[in-house]
Amino acid sequence: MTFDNPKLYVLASPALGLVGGLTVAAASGASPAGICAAVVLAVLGAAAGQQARTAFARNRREMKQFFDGQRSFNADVAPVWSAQIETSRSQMETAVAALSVRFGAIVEKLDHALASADPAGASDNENAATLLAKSQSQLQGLVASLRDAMSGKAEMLRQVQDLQGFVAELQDMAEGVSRIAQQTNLLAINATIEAAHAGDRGRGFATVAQEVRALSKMSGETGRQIAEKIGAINAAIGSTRTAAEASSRRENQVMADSETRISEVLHDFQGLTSALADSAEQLRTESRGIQSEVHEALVQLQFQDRVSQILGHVSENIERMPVLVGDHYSACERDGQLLPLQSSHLLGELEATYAMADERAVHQRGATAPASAAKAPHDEITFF
Amino acid sequence: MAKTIMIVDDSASVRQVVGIALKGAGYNVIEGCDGKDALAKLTGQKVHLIVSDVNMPNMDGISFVKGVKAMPAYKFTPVIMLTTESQEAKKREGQMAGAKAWVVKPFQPATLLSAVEKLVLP
Repeated sequence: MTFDNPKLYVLASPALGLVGGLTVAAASGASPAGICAAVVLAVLGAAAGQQARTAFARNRREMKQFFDGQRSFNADVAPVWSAQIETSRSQMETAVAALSVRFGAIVEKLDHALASADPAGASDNENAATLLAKSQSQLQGLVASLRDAMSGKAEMLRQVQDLQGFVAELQDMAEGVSRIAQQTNLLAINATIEAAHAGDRGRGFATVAQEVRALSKMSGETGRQIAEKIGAINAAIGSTRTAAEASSRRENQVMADSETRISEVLHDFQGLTSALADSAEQLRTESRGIQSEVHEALVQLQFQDRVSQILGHVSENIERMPVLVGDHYSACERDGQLLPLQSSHLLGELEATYAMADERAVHQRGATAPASAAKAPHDEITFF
Repeated sequence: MAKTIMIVDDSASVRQVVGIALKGAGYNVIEGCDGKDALAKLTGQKVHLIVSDVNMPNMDGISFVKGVKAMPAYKFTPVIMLTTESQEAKKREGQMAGAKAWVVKPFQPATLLSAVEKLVLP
């Protein structure tokens, strides 16, 4: 809709009426009827002009009301849109910053955990294997020492057995002493008889024979006592040997049991350390995996910077809209024409603020392009 | 002794991501939230490299690099621009201001570290 200079309509209607009236009056030769018709035409023209002026004034009022309403609408709405975008942008920035700090703390803690789990560069598996080998070596040394001790006891038992052999010889010797004493006694008896046959000449010999007989009795008694003592010693050695053999059998059994138990304990220990090492390695692997995921999450959080910039640019552009639209309405009012509002100026200002290639790409494609079509450039590096 | 790198970015999350990557590689990190803030923090201490954004409030990255190059103590400190900007004209502006490399966000920490290790002062 255009006005096409409405003042023309206001002035043209009475002028046309007046010209029409004058023409009719002239054509009728200034007859009374022609003059009357001319006056009627002039009055009708003036009335039409007045109506046009009234319509024009009403139109201007309505236009002003419309523009004022539009200005008010823009002035009311644009700042609210902009403030909402700015608030969202600010909240997102705060939240993502806090999130990235938390993620950063997780990465740091995982670093510490991994470092403390592997202090000297040696794995738990190696530490456990070293400890197990050391324990095994020490316990095997202990078993060897016990075996040495038992071997000493077996040697002692064998010597005790040898002692019994000597005791048997001593027994034989004691019996030999008894036999000699008996024979000596018989000889002494024979000597006494022979001395008796010899009469006085054999008296001295009889005395000697008597002494010899007494000696043989004493020898026999001594031999018997030796035999008794040897018997007692033999019995003592026998009971000692029996006790030592029983003890040795028990010790052998204990030794075998100990070896079995040590072997079982070492086996269990090996299983436990192996399981612990497996768990620790699994934990380390999982920790590294989590650390990697958190790193990737941190990289992805950079979207906030990009989104924040895009929202900032749009927000600035929305704030500019009431000014540009207001200028346009002022031009319309000034010119008395309703001119179409062009978007190119506002879009041009928006485009000038772009920092990212994907912003420009979206702008070029227009509002119909799907949001996912704009892919951010990634990881580009240029050295100067 | 660990080398010191300054990170200049108005986005706290980007500073955090860059900080984690650099600290993980054994660097000390100091931060500035825009060009003006970062210039105020350059008070003569040894800084082996600067990583700076381009679009920032108060003072943008290009002006910041020019400011750094005007300071005798930091004239030779290498600067890496880390930005969402990827236009050749902007890159040339950075190069003219004195930057040594231009990395486009979003970035992988390994990419940034490779640039840092190549340019960091001994």
